[in-house]
Amino acid sequence: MDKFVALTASGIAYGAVLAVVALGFLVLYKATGVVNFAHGDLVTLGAYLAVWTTTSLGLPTVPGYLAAIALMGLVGVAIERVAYAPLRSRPPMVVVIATLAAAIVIRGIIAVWQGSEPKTLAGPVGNRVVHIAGAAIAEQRLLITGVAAVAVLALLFVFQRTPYGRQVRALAADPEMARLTGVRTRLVAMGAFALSAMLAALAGILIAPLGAVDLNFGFGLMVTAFAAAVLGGFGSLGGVVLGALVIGLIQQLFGGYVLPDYAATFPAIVLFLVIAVRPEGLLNLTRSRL
Amino acid sequence: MLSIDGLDVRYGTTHAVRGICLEVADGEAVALLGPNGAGKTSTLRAISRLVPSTGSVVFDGQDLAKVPAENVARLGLIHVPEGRHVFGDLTVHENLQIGTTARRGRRSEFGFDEVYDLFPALVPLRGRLGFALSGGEQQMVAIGRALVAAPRLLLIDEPSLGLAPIVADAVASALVEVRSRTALLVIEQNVHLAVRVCQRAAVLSGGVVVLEAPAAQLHDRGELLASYLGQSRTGTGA
Repeated sequence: MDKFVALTASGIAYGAVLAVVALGFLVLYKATGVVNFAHGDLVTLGAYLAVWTTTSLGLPTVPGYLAAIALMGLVGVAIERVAYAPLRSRPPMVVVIATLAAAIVIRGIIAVWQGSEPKTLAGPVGNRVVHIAGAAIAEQRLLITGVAAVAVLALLFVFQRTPYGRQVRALAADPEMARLTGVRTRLVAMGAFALSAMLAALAGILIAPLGAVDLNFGFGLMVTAFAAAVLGGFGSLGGVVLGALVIGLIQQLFGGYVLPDYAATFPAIVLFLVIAVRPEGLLNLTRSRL
Repeated sequence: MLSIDGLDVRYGTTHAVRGICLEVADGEAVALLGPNGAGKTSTLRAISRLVPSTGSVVFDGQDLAKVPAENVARLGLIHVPEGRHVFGDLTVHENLQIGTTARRGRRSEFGFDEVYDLFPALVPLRGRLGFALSGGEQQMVAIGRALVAAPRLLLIDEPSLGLAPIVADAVASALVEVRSRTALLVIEQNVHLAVRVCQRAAVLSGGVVVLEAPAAQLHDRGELLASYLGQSRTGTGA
């Protein structure tokens, strides 16, 4: 029982981080139609920036985290300026390749700046654990779940209830008509790049204290989050959150009970099965542009 | 208010609009008539800067040549495109809300309440998603979305296309109401509706204006008009 509780808690925390990664990915996709393959490296960069603000700059953990997230907003704008704005009128595949190039550049910059040795990021709650139903659960996991839940709800609110959210949804549905209603597509796109990069950083910062940060840290998360997004129907934000939790739980519970050595392959297997059997995702609530 | 001079639109080797000159005065309602392929929609899309064109388009003293489409809308030149283009993933009310994006500081003759008064059929549909609406309902939303933007000139492309006669009639009645408060440039295949809504008409054929007349006189020149429109009927009351 306590093993089940511990694995479930891990699965939910992991799923919550995946949800934040996937939503960052999706915000950008909705606003610009761009599938950003640099998203995983933005997760990595966010975690490294937090390591830098809390160690080199000596900031306390939470202000250091917030500074890193704010910096990542600027990084998002920079990527929009360099890798997206000049290519706006090109076919989508050109932009996708540009995001791959951005990913390689980001990774190269991190390697030059921080080296290839794994780093550790201090968590605000240290290594404390709480006992729930006999299981020892790291407080960091509860913190991850709580912060991710707040971030997801805030994002859903922005999407459903604010003018910016409506403009993003209008752009996703019909870009030309959005312009005819006066939506400034360039500003909306820039905002989406910033928001997406900040969500990537948040995800990286949440999960980094549970392990080590290295150059491949975010890439694996991105692939897993992509599986979650496809599982959720690639378009519906609620569906993506559900997909992320399902993937997180599958990975932890299957990995914990059945095939511990193969846990890392489960998201890829789920991705493969979803595409083969139910390509529209679990919840086919909205149509997507893919 | 709107002054078009020598407007030319080309798509590759197709020369869709060939040097059109057209004026819309303050508070005036002008119909743009003509057969399929005459260049009506291309003219409207060029005015809104959706397609590249040469020649001059001046709106309220400002040359629109270098103005991007979203800023044309923000100037109060609001385009209701052919096919309505209601945002399918947004509700009826959200579609209206996004219409206010282009309003800037202009005082609007139409708020949400006035739109729902103009189209009472939309009231029970406020929360319905755009893709679940009928063609007529979509047309009402598209016009409503344009009205809340505080338009100074409305460009409307084929408002009655594909609508049942009774629905088209309701849309025409609404446009008559709108006409008293804002200038209109309307593309319409249904000459009867165009005459009812507009004071003046320009007939396009082969990318040029072939006839310009007060709407009332179109009745007298029905046969000539029918020959331009490529329609077999001789009257305008069809």
